[in-house]
Amino acid sequence: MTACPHEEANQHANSPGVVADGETICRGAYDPVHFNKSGLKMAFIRPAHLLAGELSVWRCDRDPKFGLQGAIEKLIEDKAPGQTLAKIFGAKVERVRKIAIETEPDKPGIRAFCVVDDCATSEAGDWHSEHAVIALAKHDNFAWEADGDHFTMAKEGLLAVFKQTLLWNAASVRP
Amino acid sequence: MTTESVITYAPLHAHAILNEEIPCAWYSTRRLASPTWQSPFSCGGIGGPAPTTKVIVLSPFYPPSHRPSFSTRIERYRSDLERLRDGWCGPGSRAPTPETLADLDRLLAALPSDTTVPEIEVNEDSGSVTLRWQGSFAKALSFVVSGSGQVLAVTTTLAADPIVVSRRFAVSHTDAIARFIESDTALAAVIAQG
Repeated sequence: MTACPHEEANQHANSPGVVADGETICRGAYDPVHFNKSGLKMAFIRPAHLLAGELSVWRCDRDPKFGLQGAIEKLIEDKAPGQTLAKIFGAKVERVRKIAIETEPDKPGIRAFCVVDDCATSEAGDWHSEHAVIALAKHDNFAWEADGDHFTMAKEGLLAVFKQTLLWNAASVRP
Repeated sequence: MTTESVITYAPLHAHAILNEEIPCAWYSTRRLASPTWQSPFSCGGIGGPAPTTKVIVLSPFYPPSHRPSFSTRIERYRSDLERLRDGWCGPGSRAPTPETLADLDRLLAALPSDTTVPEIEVNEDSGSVTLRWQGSFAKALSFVVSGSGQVLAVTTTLAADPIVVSRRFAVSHTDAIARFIESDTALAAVIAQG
């Protein structure tokens, strides 16, 4: 069984196609919910959404008409009351797909994440062509547990990869 | 385009005078917005300068003999954790238990004296505490304590193919934790320089 069967074919009627390895995906970090005094919190990754297979990301360089500016506008539009879009972190899809966690010493790691062209942006049927999701990969004889070490490893790995690439910083944008 | 800026600041863990060319992404919004940053600084963003900006960072110099110890530098954060109570982050959120804080104290005691103050996070659902170092290095390191008498060390190697490995230690085995860090020069660098 492949770990990410949903990556291989379109998952939404309005999808422009499966998410390619060479694309960049991005997520918004909102202040204050995603930060504490010492930095970016794990809340940025939204563990509950990961477990549900629906960690929302934007395809921020597939369509030049949308691009990072389109993602900024969508992220600002989607912010919760009292929140401010502070930063946008990005990652190459290929790197997210290659994040592996070691489940047994001295054995190859297993794939942690899939990136899927799920365009749904709400349960009410809203959608956007540049919306996608990160989901946990599926493995035989292996189940992700919310309080398990393997899930902690996957979350830490994904957070570390996103933190490497700051695409946009509200503090640096001149009014 | 390269822009040169002079920035002075007094971070808690500063111990050297730096003059480096660094990606602006390494500076957090909070630091940029902090009154301790003395000069205008433009970095990255749409229409901004190149993502690599020449930055001269002047920070207080502490001779090794006067440098505050790690335990001194982290005390403020440690005190904050102790003040948290259940419900601190909304209904149902949990504060670290005394057992979790005891595990944290044992872990902190095992870390080298030149350790940089990490990012510190409390898991609202469980009350567990994570210490996290990443900085600009090829590895990221996290320690998670939850009051079980154990610490989970998670290392992410940030190569083209990122790999995440973990080790569990009894927090009482401070020598084993110290050896774990010392045995990997990349990890030692991450926690020493953040």
